[in-house]
Amino acid sequence: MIEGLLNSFIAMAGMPLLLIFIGTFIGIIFGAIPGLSGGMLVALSLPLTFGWSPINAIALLVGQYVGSISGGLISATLLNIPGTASSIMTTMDATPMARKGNAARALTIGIWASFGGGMVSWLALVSISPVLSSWALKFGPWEFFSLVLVSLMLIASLGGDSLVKGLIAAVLGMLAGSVGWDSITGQERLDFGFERMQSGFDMLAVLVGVFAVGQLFYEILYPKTIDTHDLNPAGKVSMRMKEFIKHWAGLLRSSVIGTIVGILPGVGGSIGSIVAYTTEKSLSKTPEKYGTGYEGGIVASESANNATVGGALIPLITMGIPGSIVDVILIAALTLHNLTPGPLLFENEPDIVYGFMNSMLLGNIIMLVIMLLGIRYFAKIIAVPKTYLTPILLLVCVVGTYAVNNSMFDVWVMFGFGLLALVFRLVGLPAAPFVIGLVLTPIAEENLRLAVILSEGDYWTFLTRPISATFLFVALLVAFKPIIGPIISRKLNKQS
Amino acid sequence: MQNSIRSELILSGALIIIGVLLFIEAEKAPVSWFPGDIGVTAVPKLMITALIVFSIVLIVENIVKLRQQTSTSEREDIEQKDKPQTLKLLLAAAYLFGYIVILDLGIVPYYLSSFLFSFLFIQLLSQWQPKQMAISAGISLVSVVVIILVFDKLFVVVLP
Repeated sequence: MIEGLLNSFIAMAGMPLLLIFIGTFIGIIFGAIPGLSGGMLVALSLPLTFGWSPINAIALLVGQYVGSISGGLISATLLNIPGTASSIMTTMDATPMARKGNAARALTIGIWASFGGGMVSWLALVSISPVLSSWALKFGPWEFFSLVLVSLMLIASLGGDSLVKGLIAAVLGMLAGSVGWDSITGQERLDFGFERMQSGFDMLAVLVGVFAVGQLFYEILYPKTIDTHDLNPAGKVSMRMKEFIKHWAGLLRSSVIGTIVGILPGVGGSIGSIVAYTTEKSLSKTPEKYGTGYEGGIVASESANNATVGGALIPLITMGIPGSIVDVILIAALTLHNLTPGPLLFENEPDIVYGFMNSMLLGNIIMLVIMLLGIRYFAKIIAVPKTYLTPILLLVCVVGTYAVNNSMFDVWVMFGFGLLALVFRLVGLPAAPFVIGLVLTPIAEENLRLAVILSEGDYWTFLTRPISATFLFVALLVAFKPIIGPIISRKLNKQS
Repeated sequence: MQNSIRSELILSGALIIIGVLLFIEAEKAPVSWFPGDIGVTAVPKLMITALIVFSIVLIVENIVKLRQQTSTSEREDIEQKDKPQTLKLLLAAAYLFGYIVILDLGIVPYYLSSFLFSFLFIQLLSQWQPKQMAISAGISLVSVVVIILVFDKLFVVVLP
């Protein structure tokens, strides 16, 4: 494993390294501009990588992923608007610190914390993935189906404010993923007689529609006004290591929390940073300092949100389950290159797995260098008016979606799902369960049907196999969380 | 609060109708010939049923909320969000729709339709300010040239 990782690291010198650099750089810019997101960038870049080697594609996309999560720090500090949702807790302390005239200091702490979080989760990725992958090799269709079910329940319950809405979004995604030819028998279904729908919806078209077009439409409906007077990261960019080291325990704790939250399917950086921030605040001897421009708050939030990247990659490369919504696009990237994410990826394509690990490591290092050197310049990029960016991004959406299959139908699908994403946002349906439901449907259905065929119609096999039964039990617990949760907390309150 | 309840009730109703339509469509699919298979439409039908059940739960949730609603929450509703730019959004969606139609029909060359789309879009977002026209045209021209160079020449991608 270590030898393979080192060989892959050496092989990444050259084009992959350059692509990680470009990806991280553009990712930081997209992360920094409120309204643009990592998901949007990765979805838009995917068509470009069609003719590339898988390693080059992974290098660019993972670089963008790391960069976009980190870039959110800039606008969170300077504008009090999180560039990405994962930086939401950073605003609590980074903005007050910036308002006191220490913007550069807040940014430097955030950058180092992001780097620290990224490195801890990279260590987790490297050490946990092989173990989890060899364990997952023992899974049969019963376990895979139950795993997908528990993943969908988790996404639906943790991704939004309402379990019912999350479940509706997941079911709608699964139905969208069921359109067209059935993967086992090749028979048509749910195509309403339209010939163009027989091959189903192209995943990339749906992803570009949901992440890019829908988001851009929402930004037109509710435009954010940016006060460019705030964009001044004044002060020295340096910070004494001694000051940073005093937060090492918080950094470690938050990074571990971020990694664990990242592993949970579809939960993402925002939940990771919220959980880490509140944990640090409750453990602190001086909780009153949080929210007033305290360094510990920035460290907790930024280390946790960057740590979700490595955490989210663990279920992706070991079981083919997306840990975050960007991972959904990474799955699409692997599929585009005829690779199947899952436990066999480790066995059959170890170079790809090492490519993921090394891209993340290099992306983190490059992010640190770029952000420390470019703080002042990135601050200016945030001020680029959306008036000019929006049509350019829409042009790229159209070309990129068309390019994959040379199909205008895909462009229509992109437009339709863009409108659907806007409606979702307006009525409060979360997008994450929808796209993850879309991606996981073929896995869930194939495994369910295979399991039923293998057990000759005996559904009890799902419960007699221990791992499958455990997953189903967890799924049930999550489903009944709205009922069980208040009862447990009432009992705990009574006891205390 | 009342707005969100109304929109959720409309959503639930729409989802139930969609669910019924999907169920009718799923019924048309052929029976699976694979021995022991649960069938081509078993999983979609299960999901459609789940969709209808969850939509009904959402309706019930909202009816309960509506009953519990007090006059104070109505006041909160007024101060909710910035005013939405609905007309701008509708025009933007119409522009994109028109642009895709033109590309699909292939009646106007890609570079010209893209330039016009970009120009009109920037003008729409900048409230049709006359002094903005030259800048809009310049940015649109540069973007189209860059997109053609990057996609067509550099990455050898076929343009619509």
